[in-house]
Amino acid sequence: MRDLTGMNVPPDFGVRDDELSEVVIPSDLRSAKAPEERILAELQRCGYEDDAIFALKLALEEAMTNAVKHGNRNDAAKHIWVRYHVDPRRVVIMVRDEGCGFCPDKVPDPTAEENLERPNGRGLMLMYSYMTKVRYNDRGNEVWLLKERE
Amino acid sequence: MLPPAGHDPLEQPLEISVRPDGPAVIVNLRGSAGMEEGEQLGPRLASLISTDAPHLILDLSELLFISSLGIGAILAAHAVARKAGGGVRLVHPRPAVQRLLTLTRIDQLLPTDATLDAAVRAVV
Repeated sequence: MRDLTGMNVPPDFGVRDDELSEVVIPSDLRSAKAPEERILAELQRCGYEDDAIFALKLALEEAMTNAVKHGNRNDAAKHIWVRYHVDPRRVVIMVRDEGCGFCPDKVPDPTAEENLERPNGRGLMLMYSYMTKVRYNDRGNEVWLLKERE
Repeated sequence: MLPPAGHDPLEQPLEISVRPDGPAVIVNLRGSAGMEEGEQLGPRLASLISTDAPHLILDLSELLFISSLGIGAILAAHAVARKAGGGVRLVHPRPAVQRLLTLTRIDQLLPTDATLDAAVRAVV
């Protein structure tokens, strides 16, 4: 397993690096359910509303799907790093894969007329739509998600 | 009955029930179409489409959650249905799912009906 040291939590996300929990999982969609269940259980414990739970489940699943399918290219021998923090005011999640990364600015707009019928390419747009902030590292293999409670 | 403490209300297994109705196949999606289920949904939906029944009516009234993989599965089925001379129609999505369909503009691509009867009438 390549240990890819990532960036620290973005300073404007409102939590310290030492407040994050970390999980490392094999790179497949089934294994990706384990950290999701932990994070969603924390949301329930903190009393988050249904809309926020939907938004976080969606953004996390999109980040995981991108990591498994695009980042690690469905190579189950690779790994995914998940770091997270949940408190009653905000949720911070980081997902990092072992891939070469990508440039988020170059992903085509899935809502453009010519892309509407494409079966893929919506994950990034959904993360930006449902989260308060989304940040990628320079390499493009690590995404940070922030959801502030409304 | 209230779910047990810590239970994720969106984490319900996806149940798919299928009912042929003339030139259409009515599919009820109940539960949660997350990343694992979404990936399996595409081939399942496509397998239901034929030239005799080229219209796929997806009843979304009991669908609690869907991710981009599930959306992709529906669009792939729509492409298959169009080749067979039909298409996909959506019925009564819940507000959270409707918001996602609106954000992605899928609701401009696929017709959405308020009731199952209206969807069936549209394809007969």
